[in-house]
Amino acid sequence: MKVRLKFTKIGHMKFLGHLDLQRLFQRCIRRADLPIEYSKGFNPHQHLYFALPLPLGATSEGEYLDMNLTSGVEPQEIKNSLNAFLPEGITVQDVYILSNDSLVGMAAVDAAEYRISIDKETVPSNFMDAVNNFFNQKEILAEKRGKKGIKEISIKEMIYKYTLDENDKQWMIYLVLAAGSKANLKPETVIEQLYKNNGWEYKDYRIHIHRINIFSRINNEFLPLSD
Amino acid sequence: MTTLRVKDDLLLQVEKPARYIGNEVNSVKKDINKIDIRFAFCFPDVYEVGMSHLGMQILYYYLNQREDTYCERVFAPWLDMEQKMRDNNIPLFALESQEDVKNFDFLGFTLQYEMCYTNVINLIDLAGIPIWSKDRNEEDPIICAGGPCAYNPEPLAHFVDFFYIGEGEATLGEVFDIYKKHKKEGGSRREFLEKLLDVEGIYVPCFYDVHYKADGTIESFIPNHPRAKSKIHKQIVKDLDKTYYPTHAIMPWIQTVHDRVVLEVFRGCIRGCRFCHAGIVYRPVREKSKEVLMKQASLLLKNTGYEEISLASLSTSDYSELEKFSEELLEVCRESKINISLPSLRIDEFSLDLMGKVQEVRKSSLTFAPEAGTQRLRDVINKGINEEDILSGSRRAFEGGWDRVKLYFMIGLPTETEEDIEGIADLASKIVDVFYEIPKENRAKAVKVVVSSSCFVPKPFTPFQWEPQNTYQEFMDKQYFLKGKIKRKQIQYNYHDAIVSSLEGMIARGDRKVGDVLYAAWKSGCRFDGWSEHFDFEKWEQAFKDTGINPAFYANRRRAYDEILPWDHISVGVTKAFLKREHEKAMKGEVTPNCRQHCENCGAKRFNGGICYES
Ligand code: SF4
Repeated sequence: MKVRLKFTKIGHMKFLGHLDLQRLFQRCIRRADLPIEYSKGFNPHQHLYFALPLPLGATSEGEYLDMNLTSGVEPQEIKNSLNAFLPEGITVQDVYILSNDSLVGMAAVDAAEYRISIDKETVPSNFMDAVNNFFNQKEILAEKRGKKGIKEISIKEMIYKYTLDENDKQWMIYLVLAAGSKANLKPETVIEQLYKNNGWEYKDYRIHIHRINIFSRINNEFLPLSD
Repeated sequence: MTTLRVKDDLLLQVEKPARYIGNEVNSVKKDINKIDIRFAFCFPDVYEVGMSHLGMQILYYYLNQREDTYCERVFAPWLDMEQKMRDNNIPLFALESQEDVKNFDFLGFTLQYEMCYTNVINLIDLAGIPIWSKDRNEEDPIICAGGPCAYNPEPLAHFVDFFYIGEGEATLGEVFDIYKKHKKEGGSRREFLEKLLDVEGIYVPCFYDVHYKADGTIESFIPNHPRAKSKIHKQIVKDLDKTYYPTHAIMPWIQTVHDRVVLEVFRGCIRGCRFCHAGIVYRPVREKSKEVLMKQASLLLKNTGYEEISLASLSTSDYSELEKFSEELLEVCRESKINISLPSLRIDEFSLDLMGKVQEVRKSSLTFAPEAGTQRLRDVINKGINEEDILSGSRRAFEGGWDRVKLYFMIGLPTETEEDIEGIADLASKIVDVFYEIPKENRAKAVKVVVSSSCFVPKPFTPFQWEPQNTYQEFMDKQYFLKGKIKRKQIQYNYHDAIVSSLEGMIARGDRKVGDVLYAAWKSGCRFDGWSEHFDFEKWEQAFKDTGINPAFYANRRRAYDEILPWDHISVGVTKAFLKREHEKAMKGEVTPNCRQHCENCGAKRFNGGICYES
C-alpha cells in the first residue's frame, strides 16, 4: 500500500537539516510500529521518499513523505500513531492512499510555493519598486554554484508566479518556483540574486523562507501533492 | 514551545544549530516551580560527542527520577557558538529549560579524558562563574566533577568544589539529600562542603593541604579539617541487575558518534592489562543477567526507534552468558530488522561465527589489539593474546571472506626495544603471508592490513603509574623507525602526532600545580584540545614557560615506589601493593591470570560484590 503523508516543519524544527529529519522519521515510524517496507539484503533499511528537501532554517506547512506499507492501515491510524512520537513542530496533518501507479517522492514534484519574509528595516525604502523591476526583467540571470564552479543560468522561466505583500514590519514575497528532478529553482537563489542586482548585502539568516505547498503538474495545472 | 536562549538569527549563523535547541524526543521536561535542586550536567565536549556517552544518559535519567531534582544537559558550545555567545553576552545555558546555569544549584562535570580540561574551565567561565573555587561566593552554584579522570582529581582541584569518586548513581543521591536539607535550614557554602566530608566517596579539595619538596615531589598531603577523611574510597553499585537502568534514551537531533541503542552488558574487565586505566578503576567486574539484558534491550529499542543496538563493555567476549544471550538477541533483532554491532570482541571461532550471523561481514574489517609486537612485551603488559591466536584468527577470517585486518599497537611501552617495534612490522607481514597461503579460490582477491600505533600514556592506578613516558622525540623516532620497517604494499601504517599524547601524559599524572598550566593554556585560547584541528601546542609551551612548570617532571620521570603520588588519597579499591606486585612481575615478564581464572586479591573484594564473590 502506497501512502503519502503531509506534514509541517515549523518552530524550532527549522534547525533540523534534511538528513536529521529523515532519521527522525525513520525512528518515529519504528516506534509507531507501522508495517513499512524494508530493503532486502544486509542492513535492511526503510524506503522513505521525501518530496523535496527543505533547507535548514526554512519552515513549511506543506511537506510530503511517501512510503510503502506491507499491509493496510487506516490513514487516520497512521496519522495518530506517528503524531504520538513526533516532536513539537513536526505534525502529520493528513495521510493519503496513493494508487499503485502514482509517482512517489521527488518524481511527483514539479513546483513549490514559498513565502519569503524580510524585515522592512533590513532593506531600503525602494524595496517594492526594486522587487517589481527585478521580476519584470525580460531575462533574469542568476549565479549558480555547481560542481564546475559558478555559472550563470537563466531563471525567469522557472519562476511561475510572484506576488508581493506587506504588513507593518515585513515584506512578504510569494513565489511559485519550478521544483523536482526536471527543473529546480531554490528560493534563496532568487532572493540572493535580487539583493545582488540591487547592491544590497545578502545574509541568509536575515530572510525567512516558508514553504506553503508542493505541486504536481497535471494536464498543465499545478495541483498540490495532496490532491 | 520553550523560548530558545539564543535568537534565531544567531543560531542560523552557526554550524549545526540543533546542538543548542534541546527538547529532543525522550528528553525530560519538568515544571521548574516544583523543583528544589537544579543540576546542570556538563559534558565538556561538543554535543555529538557528549550525546554518545552512555554514562551521561544513565546518570541523566537516574537523577531525574527524583521529583525534587531537575537534571539538565550542557555541552561545550562549538567555537563558532562560543564567539556568538561572548559577543552577545549570552552566558552558558542548559538545553532543557534554556536557562542560564549560573542560577542553578550545581554544575556537574563528567571527566572522560584529560584533553577536555580546558573546556571545563571554559564552561565555568562562559557560565559567568568565577573559575577558581576559592573565588566563588554564596550566589554561585556548587561545581562538582566525576568520571574516570576524577580518580586523579588534582589537576582540577582548584576549579572544582567537590569530586564524586566512583559511580554517580552511588554517591549523588546522598549529596542531594544533604543539600536540600542544608538549603532549607540555611547555611553557607562552606558549611555545605563541610557536611560533605561525612559522605563516603566525596572529595572536597579545599580541606586538604599539599606541601612540596624542593625537587617538586609531594612532601605531605594532609587534611586541614578534622572531619576530612585521609582516604576517599570509590563508591560503586554492587548489583547491576538491581540497579536503575534507563528504559529510554534521548534521541539526538543530529547524527552523533554512536547513534544507536547502547546496552551495557557488564562493568569492569576481568583482564588485568597493565597499561589499562579502565581495567583497574572499574573493578570488580559486575555482570547483568541475560534476562535483565534482554528486557532492557527490548525496552530501549521500543522506546527509541533506533535501528541498531550495540553491546558495550570493555571486553564483550568475556561476558559469561554471551553465547546464549547473543542467540536470543539475534532472534529478536532479526524479526524486527535491527542491526547488532559488536565492538570489543576477541577474534576466535565463536566470535567470527557470531559476526557472520549479525551480518557485519560487509560492514567492517576485523580488529585485533595485540598492543605490542613481540610475545615478550605482550607478557610485560599482560596482554593475554599470542601470535598463534592472531594468525589463526586471521586465517579463519580470510577463509570466511574478510579481506581487511586492523591491528592496534602502542609504542613506548615500558621495557620496549627496537626488536619489539620491528615485531609489529613482522606480525603484520605474517598476516599477509597467511592470506596468500590460502588457496585463491577460497579467499578474497586482495588483502589489506592496517597497522595503527598510538603512544603509550602511563596512567594513575595502573601498574605502570611509576613509569616514565617516552619523550616526544622518542615517540617520533620510534614511529619513523617502524615506518621504515613496513615495506609490503599490502600493509598500511597509521600513526598520529605524538604531541597530544605527551601532553595527556603530563596532565594524567599531574598534581595541583598543573592546574596553573591548564588555566594559562585556557587563558591563551586553548579549547577542544582533543580535536587535532584545534590543538595548538605553541600555546601550551608558552603556558609551561609562564607558569615555570616543567612537563617532563610529570611525563618523563620515573617515580620511586615510596614517592607520595598526587592521587594517593583516592582509593579505587585495588591496592597499591597489588599495583606494585604487578609492576614487579611486568619487569620480569611474568603474566597474571585473569579474575575468572584465579583471584589475585587485588583489593576489589572490599566492594562486597561482583566477580570476586562468584564461585
Ligand atoms: S579481588 Fe580478585 S576477582 Fe576481584 S577484581 Fe581483584 S583479582 Fe579480580
